Amino acid sequence: MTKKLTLKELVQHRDLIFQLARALDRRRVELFFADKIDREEFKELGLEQRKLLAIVDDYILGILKEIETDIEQPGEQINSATTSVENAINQLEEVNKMLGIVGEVVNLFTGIIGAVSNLNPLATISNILDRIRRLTRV
Amino acid sequence: MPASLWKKLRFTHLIVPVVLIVSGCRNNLEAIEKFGLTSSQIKAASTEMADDIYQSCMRTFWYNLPRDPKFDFVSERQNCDRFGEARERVSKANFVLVEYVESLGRLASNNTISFDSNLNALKDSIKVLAGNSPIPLQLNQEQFEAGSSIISSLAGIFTNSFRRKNLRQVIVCTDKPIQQYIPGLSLIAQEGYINGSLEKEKLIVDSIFRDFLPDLRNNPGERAKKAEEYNQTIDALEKRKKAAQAYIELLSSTAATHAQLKTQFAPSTDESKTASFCQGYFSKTSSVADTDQTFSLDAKKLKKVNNILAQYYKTAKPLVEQMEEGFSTEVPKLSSLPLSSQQSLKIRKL
Repeated sequence: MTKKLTLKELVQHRDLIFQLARALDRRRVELFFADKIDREEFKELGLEQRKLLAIVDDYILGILKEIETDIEQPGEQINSATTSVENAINQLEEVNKMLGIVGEVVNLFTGIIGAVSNLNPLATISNILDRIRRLTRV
Repeated sequence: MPASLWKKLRFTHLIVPVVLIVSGCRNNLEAIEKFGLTSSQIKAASTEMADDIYQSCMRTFWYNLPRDPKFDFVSERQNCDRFGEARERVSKANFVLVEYVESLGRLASNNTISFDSNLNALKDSIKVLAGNSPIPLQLNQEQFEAGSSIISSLAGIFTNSFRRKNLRQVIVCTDKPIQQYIPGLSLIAQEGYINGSLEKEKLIVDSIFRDFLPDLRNNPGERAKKAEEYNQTIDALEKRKKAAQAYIELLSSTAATHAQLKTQFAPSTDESKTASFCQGYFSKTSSVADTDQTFSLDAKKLKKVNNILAQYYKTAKPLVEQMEEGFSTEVPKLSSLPLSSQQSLKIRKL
């Protein structure tokens, strides 16, 4: 194909080949039963008709390619919308993470208050250090 | 719906959760589940269809191989490989829609990001802090519960309003590309698959079965057997055509539903106002400011939205069943050799 065909032309050409293949297949049956061709010729015509149908592959692939090109731009916009939705989901996840951090900070204060008033300050301080370590990992 | 399809439906996404969050109503979990099915169903059906574009070529490879003495199986296989590449591209094109729909569902669904566990942990921490404090915090149980409820409500208001704003923007502003994209996907299914690959395969099957006719002329028993085999093959191909047709209808219904939702969420029926609302939405450098803060869904509008979604589900359910049935029906393998060749083989052996 030297000239680039439009989607409409590709569909039309494909359908013409199908039409021709259908006619050829019916015709060989008529000719055989009218004793105008023999068994070998009948089979040969079948082979040729199937070779004709093989041409259609180029048209099918051309049709797919044309449609894919046509929807490229809206596809990019939809992808960009998906990315912005994903970003919004990530922002919500960040807020959720922040809530976790606030909880940890409150726990830390609880520990410090406990250390001031607790009878076993060493155990409590070790617990506070552990919490600080956890907090810096968040 | 067959059990196998239910297993494929892992996601709880699509348009209903979106509407529930936009409208502020979040209790209809059953509806969320039902409508959540659709995006994964589109994914499953489009994958089957894209794969069959390649498989159809390979089936014709095996139909032709034993019947053509000059059959160059190397170049024929290379030809089918081109359909293998097309299969990947078609799948990718369908996934653009599926991923969009899934992301909407994930943003709308409270199951994706739940603040409950961190909020409860925070409440517990405050409770312990109040109990350990050497300075009396003077919080009785009632006050504590009230305070905790305020924290939860504020978090809920913030996240719901954030979700609402984002979902409304995305539905209103992405409708135009959606209305251009979905017809393209339908055209791939119609002209590439149904009227292309499957029609070609059908004509080859017709031609191959006609090759048997001379040998069946005086053999009515064998003729009935071949007719049975032919009918089974054609029925399987027809079922695939119907499945793809159902997929096209589902796509069309999805596009229509999206457009109807956009109408309900748009700032105005005036398209120029919608265009100005969406200005900059697809630009990477700017983000849309939701200037229409007064937007709300009144009871009448909400009823309309529910009707749109009920209709969508009613339409989608039988289409999905048809898709599942069509793609799960195997196309029978044809007898490896035409009758005349089988007979000539016997003669040669004798």
